Amino acid sequence: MSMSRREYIKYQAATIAATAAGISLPSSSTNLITNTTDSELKWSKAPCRFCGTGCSVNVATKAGQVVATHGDIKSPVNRGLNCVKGYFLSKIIYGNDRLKTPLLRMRNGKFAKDGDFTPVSWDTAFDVMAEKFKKALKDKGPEGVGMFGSGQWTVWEGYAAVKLMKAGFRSNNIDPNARHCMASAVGGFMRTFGIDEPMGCYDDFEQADAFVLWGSNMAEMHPILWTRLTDRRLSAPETKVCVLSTFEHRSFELADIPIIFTPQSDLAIANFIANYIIENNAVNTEFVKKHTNFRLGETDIGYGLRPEHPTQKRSKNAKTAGKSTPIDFEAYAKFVAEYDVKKTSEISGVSEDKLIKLAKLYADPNKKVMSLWTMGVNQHTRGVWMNNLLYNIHLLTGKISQPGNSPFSLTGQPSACGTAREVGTFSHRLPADMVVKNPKHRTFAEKIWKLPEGTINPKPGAHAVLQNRKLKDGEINAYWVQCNNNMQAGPNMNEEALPGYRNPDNFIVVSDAYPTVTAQAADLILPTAMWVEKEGAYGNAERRTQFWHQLVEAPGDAKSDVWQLMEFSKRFTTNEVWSKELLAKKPEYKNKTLFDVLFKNGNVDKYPLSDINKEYNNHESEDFGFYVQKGLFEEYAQFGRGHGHDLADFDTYHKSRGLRWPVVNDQETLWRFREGSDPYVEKGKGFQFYGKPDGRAVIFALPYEPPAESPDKEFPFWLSTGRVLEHWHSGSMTQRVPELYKAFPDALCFMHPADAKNKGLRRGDKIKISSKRGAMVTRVETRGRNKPPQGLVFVPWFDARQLINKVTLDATDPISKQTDFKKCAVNIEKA
Amino acid sequence: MRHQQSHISSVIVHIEPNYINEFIESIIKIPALEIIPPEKNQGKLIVVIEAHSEKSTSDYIEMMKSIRGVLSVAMVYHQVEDTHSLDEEIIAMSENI
Repeated sequence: MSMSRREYIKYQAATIAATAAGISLPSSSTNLITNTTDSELKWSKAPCRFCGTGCSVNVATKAGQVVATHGDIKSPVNRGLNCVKGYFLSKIIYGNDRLKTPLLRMRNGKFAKDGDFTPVSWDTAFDVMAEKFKKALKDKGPEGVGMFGSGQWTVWEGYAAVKLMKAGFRSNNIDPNARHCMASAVGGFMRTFGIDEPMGCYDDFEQADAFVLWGSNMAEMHPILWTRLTDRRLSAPETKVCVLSTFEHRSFELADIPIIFTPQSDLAIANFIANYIIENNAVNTEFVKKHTNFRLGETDIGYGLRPEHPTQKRSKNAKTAGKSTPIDFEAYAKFVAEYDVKKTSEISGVSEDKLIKLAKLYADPNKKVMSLWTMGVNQHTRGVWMNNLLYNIHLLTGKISQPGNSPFSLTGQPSACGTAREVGTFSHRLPADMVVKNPKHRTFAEKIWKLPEGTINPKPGAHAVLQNRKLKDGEINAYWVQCNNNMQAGPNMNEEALPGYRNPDNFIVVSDAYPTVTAQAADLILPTAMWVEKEGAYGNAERRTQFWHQLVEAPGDAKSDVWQLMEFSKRFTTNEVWSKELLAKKPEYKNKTLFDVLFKNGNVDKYPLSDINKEYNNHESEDFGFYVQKGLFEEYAQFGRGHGHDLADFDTYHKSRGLRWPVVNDQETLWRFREGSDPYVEKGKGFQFYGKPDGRAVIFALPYEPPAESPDKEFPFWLSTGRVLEHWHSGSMTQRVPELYKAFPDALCFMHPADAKNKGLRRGDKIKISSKRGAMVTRVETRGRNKPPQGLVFVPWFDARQLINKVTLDATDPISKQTDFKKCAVNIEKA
Repeated sequence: MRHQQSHISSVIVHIEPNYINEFIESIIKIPALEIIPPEKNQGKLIVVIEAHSEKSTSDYIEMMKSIRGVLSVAMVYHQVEDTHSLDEEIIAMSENI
């Protein structure tokens, strides 16, 4: 018997798929070989580059190129599956317009703000860049420089950036793009539990009896998790699925309880459920008594607009948005009593019958419920509140921290958790949930970093939207963007973003693998090594930290972000950027470079090149002469060990398919806060929400408040924006994959056929969508996968040529500072 | 010059069990698709695709998604090879392996 390469590959493809599906192949095909390996391919593991699910993929290289991928069967996350994005992963690194050399705007051989992009060496690029950063630091102090990072940064990239900004330049003006997607989730966790990230994990999918999707379109956004949910729904027919959204999308196909609600009314619906639970005696009294506190939140807190904006001026408590005062259960019950089914139905436009069906899922003590949400809840001017309100429901019923009972905040980016949140790349944060405001946390960080006392600035820096405002106002003059496409993803770009980038006082640097809209708005573009062109680590939505090796070389002169950050730090001496007083506390640091102080500090340079696995290259370590990633990771891990954020040692992660923190005595933690499952819960407590000093989670009384802007006569439609499956990360990578691009080539405006008819529009007509801020031209789609109700239109935001964020409002959640991309008022006209 | 390439992939199709025979009938005639039927009907089966580009691969996937009863099509494996190399005999096996 013999076998051709075709048969062999097909057999391999089928076997891996069968294993992943948990089905056995017919015996005729199982007599074939199972132990022959195709020696032409070298297989390694890596987490997928795209979303926050954190699937593991097996990546095959041949002659220095990635040629094959398959879902990693050994991965507990995706169990061998791969979604359409992950499927074409190998393609994202081989786009035709990949950047291979630094590009500087030049005229007559010199940098010029209005010059043309010209290839330069790394030396020239860093010379000009260092001069601009030094000038900004000299003129404006630490507040004069800024950095915008990413939930797609690897753990060590984010960590090196935090060190360079917060310790080196002593500036807290660093924020990740995760501000746009996760900040409200973080705010919710910190307010309710005092510690970030979900208590449950993906194992909940196989245990839950009911799934409630709050504004999330998992079928398209998190397809692998959706497959797990679908599997559960089909294998346990009693399982119920409820999908809530402001428009109908693909996830509705599996919905037993489909619910379309008026934008912003989710606040009322959540309060109604709490009220229903109380009124029907479904409160888990013992749990509530032992493990919760009640607080009344500040109301009328504004919309995070500029202080002079009329809507903002009308808000009484904008300055004390995060405040709350203790109350008791009776006061809370009274507070939510007004959200009866009649009133809630009026506010939300949802039938009373459906509201009660939904409430019953939560109220039934025998039903294990998993709530799932992402941007619909987080990109909300009351996003933190909405997170708090969802936890309220789970806390009132005690449906938390147990298999299948799980309020689960999903993430969009591959390392929104692992990097943006855990490493502390936010303007107010330090690693492991610490904050710059807290003197103990600063001292702790300064000790690990071996810095003089008082190095870290106690004042939170500028968050994402504020950075754009400060660029426009000329307060930040030197600015570095890495690993994201904020010019496309940020809100209100006409008024706030572009003027700041093109302000002649400012110097803007963008590191990217491709010439994105943001890169094209910059003064200097740095070519970046991506994904398996470098050694990396990501942390997914269920607290799982995963590593990968460098598998191929980056093209041309492209270098990883961590290399760029560390190499750039060599251009500054402490004398240039630190005060005399600070240096006097640590005279041995005088005249040292920031590289010496931050990265050759005995921690980061501790591990020799010989520790690197010989099978793989490592371009940063080869340049710097020590195992960069290991040193950065081990220094970073000191922040969380012993504080509920324990990470395993570096080498363990290269051998495993990731581990969920806290990892104590080599054991990962699946469900936090429950005795027997979480080593941090003291014996006899049952549950312990140890993020709060008294071990109790908080149930918040928070009302429905109207959105920043609602439709009126002039602008009669709601506009909601979002993603579609085939595109991710504003399309800067996925649009380079022709087959993904073809699947959804241009942004469209999805609208109800009746609305289109009233406006005299037909499918495919060119239209202008306008708001008070700007307009864009696109085409009408009245069919297809997204079906808005009358009065609402939906526009995906990935298309670089059709920038919907010219139209959106930069209203933010006053507590989390996250932008509400999900609602503003627009008009639609034929163009 | 680039050689003609072939893309070999496998997918898992989740399908309402009542529709599984209808699904098999509707795709069995397509030469690019090979169905690996499971031993018992659990509402899922494996399809192996051989196509000349990723574009046509994703077209086949979209096509399968649109068939009645299909709940999801999940990708698993993908490999690119020069087409001419696919017919090479790479393994000579005994019956006992």
